[in-house]
Amino acid sequence: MKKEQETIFLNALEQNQEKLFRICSIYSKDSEDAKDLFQEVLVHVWRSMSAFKGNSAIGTWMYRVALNVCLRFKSKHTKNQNRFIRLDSITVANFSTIENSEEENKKLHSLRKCVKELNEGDKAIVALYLEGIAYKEISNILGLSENHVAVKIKRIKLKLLNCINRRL
Amino acid sequence: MIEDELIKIWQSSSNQERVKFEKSKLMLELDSSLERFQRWLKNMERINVISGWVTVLGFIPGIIWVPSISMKIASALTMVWAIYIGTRGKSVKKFKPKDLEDTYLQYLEKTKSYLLAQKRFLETSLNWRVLTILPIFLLFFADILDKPLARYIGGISFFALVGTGIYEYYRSIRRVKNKINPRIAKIDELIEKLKE
Repeated sequence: MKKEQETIFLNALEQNQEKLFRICSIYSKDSEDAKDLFQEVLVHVWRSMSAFKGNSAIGTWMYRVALNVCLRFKSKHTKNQNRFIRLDSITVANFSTIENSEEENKKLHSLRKCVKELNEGDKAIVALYLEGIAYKEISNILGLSENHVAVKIKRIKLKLLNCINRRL
Repeated sequence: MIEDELIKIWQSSSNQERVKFEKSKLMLELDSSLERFQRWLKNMERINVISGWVTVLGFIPGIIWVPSISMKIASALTMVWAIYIGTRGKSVKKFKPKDLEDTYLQYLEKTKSYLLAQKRFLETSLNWRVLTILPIFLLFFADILDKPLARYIGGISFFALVGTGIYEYYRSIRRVKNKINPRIAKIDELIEKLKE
């Protein structure tokens, strides 16, 4: 049973690791902090695996756990507190920016800054939206109605576009 | 910039930072982290249980060997008091949100309930922790107050107890003001922003 769970977990992690890391990065000051938070998320996801009933896609379930962990650690201001989890098996490699053009990098940099400027509620919504998650799934993760999510995303997109255009 | 470009730009960050993990090592590390975490939780619980038992057992001789009736009653009441204090702490713990699979909104509501329970617990600590032990303390000395030395020791202990109680109370109030209230306000704001 544990072996089966382990396989499901690792496969889901392989598919969603980048998304989970990006969600963590929204709630972190820098990439080191994001890595710490990502490790915290993984431990809590693994800890909750036995409770996963398969009522939703495992990715959706992982985002839900990730957002709640980010909220818990962020709201506690627990940088360096309660974070006794250090996983050497996780590395975050910084690549050179050859793959992205300079303009793309500038846009990405602005987008990241603008996302971080949003209020916590908007951050949670936009984190999921930018990962290309469907509105229905976002509403399931957040506990808001689909219409409400759509309206909020429309408003947030406008805020982001204004902010980015101002910065570019 | 068009709206759909946002998603594309956002996801392009994988070209700059890539998460890598070693499957076999990760599982071992996750298991050992969890074990450490569970051990820590168990130790904390053990410390609470042990300190409760130490208080309870420490007063058993008082019931058996002390000749004074009021001291016997006071010893028994202290044991009841220690158990009561222990259970008060547990009543707050039951509010702690454990289920990380709740929706974000549910998790926020549960966290708020937990914080409010903590707030009530700390704000009323003067009533249930300090004021309840004072009459018990007076009972300890009721039968021997005619002896000057007992009066002297009793007086000093009484003021020390009252002083500690007041200090603990103000510490609790400060914790509510500096730690809990800002977090409740932040969660309220977050819920409001999500619902608006």
